[in-house]
Amino acid sequence: MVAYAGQAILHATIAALVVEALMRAWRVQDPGERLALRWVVLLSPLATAGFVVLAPGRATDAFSLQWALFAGMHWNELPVGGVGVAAAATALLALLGGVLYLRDALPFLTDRVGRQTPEAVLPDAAPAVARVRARLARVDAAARPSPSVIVLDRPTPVFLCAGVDRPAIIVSTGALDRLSDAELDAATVHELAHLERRDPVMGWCLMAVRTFQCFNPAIQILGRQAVQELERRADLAVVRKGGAGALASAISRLARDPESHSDLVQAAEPASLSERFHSRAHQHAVDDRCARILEEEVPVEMPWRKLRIALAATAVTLILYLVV
Amino acid sequence: MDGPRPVRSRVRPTPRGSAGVLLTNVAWWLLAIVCAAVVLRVADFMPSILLGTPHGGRRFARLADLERAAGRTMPVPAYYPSSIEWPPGDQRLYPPASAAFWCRHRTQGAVWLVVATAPAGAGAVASQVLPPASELQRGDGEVRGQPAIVARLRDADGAVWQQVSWTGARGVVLLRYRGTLDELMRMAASMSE
Repeated sequence: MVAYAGQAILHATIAALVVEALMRAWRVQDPGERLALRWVVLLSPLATAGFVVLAPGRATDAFSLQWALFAGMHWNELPVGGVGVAAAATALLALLGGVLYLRDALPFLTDRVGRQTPEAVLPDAAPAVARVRARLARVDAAARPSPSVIVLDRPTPVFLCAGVDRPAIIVSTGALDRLSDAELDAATVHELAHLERRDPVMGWCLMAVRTFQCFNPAIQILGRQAVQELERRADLAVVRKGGAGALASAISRLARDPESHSDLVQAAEPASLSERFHSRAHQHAVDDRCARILEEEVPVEMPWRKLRIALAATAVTLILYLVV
Repeated sequence: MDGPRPVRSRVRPTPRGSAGVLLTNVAWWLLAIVCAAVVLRVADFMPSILLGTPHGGRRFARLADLERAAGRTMPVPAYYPSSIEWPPGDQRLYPPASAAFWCRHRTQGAVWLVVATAPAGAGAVASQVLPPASELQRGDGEVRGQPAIVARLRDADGAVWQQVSWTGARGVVLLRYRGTLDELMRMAASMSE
């Protein structure tokens, strides 16, 4: 198990670097394609497990010497504090992975499991609900049934979508008070884009992978980057409809409240580790997201998208097979 | 936001044709694989470069660790010159199964005796577990009634070593000693296989 953990961390890190290099070389801008490429990395621990079960010969000294591109056990020959470098690095990285996982999972679990009292939901006849429904009917042109609308009677801003079987847009009165009609439209288009692509399901899948690899820092970081791609894809849906300014304004307004609970106020890029502990850094990152939305260009879908994903998966599989 | 607006100025132009994209993508893909392979290979060699040991070889702090990794007990001469330190100062293993322990001289500090083994199927002990040396002379000998090869070698520092190797019941055994041939043969004859 320890050997698998070490190899899974090593494999995910190498896979992440290879895929990142390919994305840059191929100049992949489309968040949907970037998300698919990130999934190649997120699934690399399964390849690692497959290699361990199906190719036990990789674990021999002969394989590591004659075939392997890189053997972690060779780094164990370098001692540090009484143990090998590879073993020490695995322990430290596993600790980092655990911290990164708990940092995101604890608020998630506290929010869902630790909720003691049911939220006060406004009745359908309430003016706030009617306002959201009216904006939704205005911007939702999809053929599928419109999602249900839940308006929470809460002064702090809440604006998100949820639901795997029964999609819903959840808004608080605090958010409605802060947003103009144009901003509400932009935010609604953003959430509809999430529901259109079944992003809540994707969110659960990402959390499942992160839980399975709770010790793996590369997977934890990749999981966060995948969420950023989901957000950017939804942002682009608004930009395509000409609502970039309104969306940036909505994000800016909602982010002003530190208690704000919305995917809209997520940072565009994960800040550095030291910065993560400072709320100013978060505000800075939100500002970056707004600036990027305003400057965002709708990326042209390049041809050979499926081929690129297949090539990335092949490269990762080939390289990881030869890393033990 | 009154309905869809044109996004002409926000759309990036297609950089090149479909075939050009395909060729460029495949070229970058190949380059990425080659670069990854080179970087990983260099990283794999780094520990042996830093330690000055053969690539792929493993070192152990204790003889018991070497025996556990090699899966066999190392032979020890019953006749053991008192000038040589015990326990050994270095234990080495090289795939598939060459193993050796190095013993230092008590006063000189330099490596003075090397005992190495390999399974019978291996044919010979891998040079990676032995101190580098060039052979000066080689001849036939005998250890406890079994044919052996006796050789004289010179190491990188110019010191002359005596060496005897033979194939016993449990595989190839090699003794390399920096003392006299007489003492070496006494040690070889006293070894419990």
